[in-house]
Amino acid sequence: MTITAGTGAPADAGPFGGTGRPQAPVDDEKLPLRLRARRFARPQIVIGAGVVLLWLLVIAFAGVISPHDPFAASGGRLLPPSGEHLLGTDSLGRDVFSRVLHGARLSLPIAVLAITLSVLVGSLVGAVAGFFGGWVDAVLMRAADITMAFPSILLAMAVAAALGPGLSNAFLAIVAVWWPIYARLVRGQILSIKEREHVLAARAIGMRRTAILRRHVLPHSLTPVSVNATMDLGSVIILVASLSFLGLGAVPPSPEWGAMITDGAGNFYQWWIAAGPGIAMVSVVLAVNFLGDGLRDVLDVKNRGR
Amino acid sequence: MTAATDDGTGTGTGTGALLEVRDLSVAFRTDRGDVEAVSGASLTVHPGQTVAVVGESGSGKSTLTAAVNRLLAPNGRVTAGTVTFAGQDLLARSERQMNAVRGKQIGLVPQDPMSNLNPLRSVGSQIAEVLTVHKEARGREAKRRAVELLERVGITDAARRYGQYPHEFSGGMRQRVLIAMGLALRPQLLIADEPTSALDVTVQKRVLDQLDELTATMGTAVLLVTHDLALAAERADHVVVMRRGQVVEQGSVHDVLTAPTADYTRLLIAAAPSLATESLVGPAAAADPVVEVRGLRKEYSVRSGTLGRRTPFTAVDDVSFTIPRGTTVGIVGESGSGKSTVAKMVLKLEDTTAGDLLFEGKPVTGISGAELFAFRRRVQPVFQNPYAALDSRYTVGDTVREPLDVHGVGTPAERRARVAELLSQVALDPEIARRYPHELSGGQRQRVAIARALALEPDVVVLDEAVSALDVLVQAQILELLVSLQQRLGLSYLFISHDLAVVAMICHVVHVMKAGAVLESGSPAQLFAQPQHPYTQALLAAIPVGEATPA
Repeated sequence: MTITAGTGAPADAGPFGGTGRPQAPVDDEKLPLRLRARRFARPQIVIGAGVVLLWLLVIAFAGVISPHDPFAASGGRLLPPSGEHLLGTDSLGRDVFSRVLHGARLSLPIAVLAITLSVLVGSLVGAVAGFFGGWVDAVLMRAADITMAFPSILLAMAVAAALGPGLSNAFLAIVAVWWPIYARLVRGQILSIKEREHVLAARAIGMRRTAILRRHVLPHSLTPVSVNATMDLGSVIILVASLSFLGLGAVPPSPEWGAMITDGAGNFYQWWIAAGPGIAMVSVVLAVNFLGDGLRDVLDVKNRGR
Repeated sequence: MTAATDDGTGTGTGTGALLEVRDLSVAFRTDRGDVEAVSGASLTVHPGQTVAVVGESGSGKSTLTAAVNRLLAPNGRVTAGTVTFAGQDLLARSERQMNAVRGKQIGLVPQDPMSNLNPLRSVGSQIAEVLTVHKEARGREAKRRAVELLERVGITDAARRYGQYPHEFSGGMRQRVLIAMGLALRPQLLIADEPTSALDVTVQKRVLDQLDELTATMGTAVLLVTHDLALAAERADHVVVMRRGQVVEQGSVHDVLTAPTADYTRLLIAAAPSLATESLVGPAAAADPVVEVRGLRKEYSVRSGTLGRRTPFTAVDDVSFTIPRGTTVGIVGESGSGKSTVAKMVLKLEDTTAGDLLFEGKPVTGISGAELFAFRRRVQPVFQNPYAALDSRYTVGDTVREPLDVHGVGTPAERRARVAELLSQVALDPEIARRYPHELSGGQRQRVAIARALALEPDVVVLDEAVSALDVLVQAQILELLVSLQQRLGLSYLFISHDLAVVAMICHVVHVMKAGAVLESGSPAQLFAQPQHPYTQALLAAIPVGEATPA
């Protein structure tokens, strides 16, 4: 998103006594794409991205690679893991492994969509508040403060309970809880960016404020937002599962991971029923956290050592 | 040469040098492969001597001194050469052994007084820490010595100031604190990396005087890193000129200044603005005022006190001046004098609290909408920071074309042609339009910013510290460009600067501002030959004139 493809060689020695400053720390936004790509080759990012890619493949091919029908009994009930049933079967005789694979199709896209919508809503609110200031800022930010004053799971539960169970309502509940994070982040970014000289220059040529916001301010706030969104993805995956676990998200026949863990919670000695979706969730959350941390280290100027 | 040898710790090489750097090369690992920042640099510092390393940004001067102290960034390493300090090979020492040398034998005064003090701890405790870390003193004794150090660097009421925090200190006082920390253990060598570059000129003079006096009484040798040749000449015994990682010339101040051997040094000496430099502009012809400012005033409300009550703060107080067409009017002052606020009000980027702004005789104080939009075409800015002034996401061509797009000037093809014309007007290759700002040097960027300002064919260009961030050679080129543009296009400039020498070179009329008010006005020749106001006199006295202090 922050990429501006470079053209031509860096002009270290310009025709007018240009000063090559090779050892100065380089602002990331100023590096051409092909040079920046190498910065991302860190173990954290490679492992995180690898696991995420694996899960994307699972989402795409769940129907093909699942050994059994996730919704129908495929053997005895409560069978322990075996060659036939890698993660055993649940209390209705359904293959847990197949259900975990199909569950990825629910949990992950819902979390990604919830984050995306939260980012859109939050960025818009934050951008308007930060750029226009005054009472608009005060009203929007107090709304964000109030929302953030509640523990997120509690508020999400309240919203989901009010809307009724179902994955789409859980999704809305998460957006309702999550937008203020990005509103605050973007507002802070905008407050500092709008004082930069290139924004003053745009004002001095008489550009409209909304055009300045769109062309010269918002694009610069996207790097921290995308990094934060990646880092928050793990929390949101857990939040989706938590709501389902509490019966406020996906409802029983669905192989959503949180709902599956609820299933397994009643069968204490058949640990595999809950452990299957649990392990799946841990792997995804760890992977996106690795990815988020890695991206932050690479992209965040404040975090980068000189 | 007295106190340093008294300690007896550092009698070294046969030549009696305190620090000897031989053929030092330093390389940095970067995305573009290894880059050599210093190549084969040599220098020698004798006990009690002040040696200045002079060069523009990117010349490797800071890298050289960082290598001496073994404080290179993690991606940097010494690839060749030796560093001998008081007879010890510093490059062969372990990190632990270096810690005993840093602070105790080699003190450091870093550049930025704002970021080099911990904001959460009292100033005094940070000085005392230097003593305790090196087990020089503890507890009450450390405090007593820290207070004494504060007094010695010229901070009054030191005992009370000891407990205060960095935000309660001004920039100059913080720099004094850093000097106190650097000298706390009476090191034999003090490395001062641009110690006063962030300070106003009058403050700079006081801080440097203090530093001179202290190092003279302690017998400390100083390795002074600076971009300012005049300052180096005034403060040092020996000058080392660096360019692109290499030492191009070194010698005594007198020799280097009067008989430079390297072409580069000659260029530097010629380009360094001083009050003796000849003005680039002729006398102003009488002309109608294009901009007239009457009784301009700006108040901000500032939250203060524990209850956060809003109290008015006057940034600009009753400022009046005119800009005759085709002339350059300068405003000089130190940071906080209100000069940039005046610039923003003339640009109508900031509202006025009181007073009138007239453009071609018509009041434009309260205009908005279409009138303001039309006014924008007539008055354009160029700002200080060539890195922040251009949006990094757009090409040079996009940036220069933007004003034309916003005002709907011409057809797309005409705009493209106009961009090429504008770029050649500021002596850039029109091919540069396809490049991004990160591919350009500081001077090129500032030319692009000037091209953007000229796109709408304005009458007035407001230059807010437009050359202050540039290296001296580039600065000279930009000033020449500005003067030739003025002559060709009949532009009027409002030139805001803290640098009197630069103002003297380019302005027809100068106003000296302090604390929001204009203290004195006149032509540069009058003003600088016979300053009437004590503040103007102090400003002039503070400019380094490039004469070595007698050794």
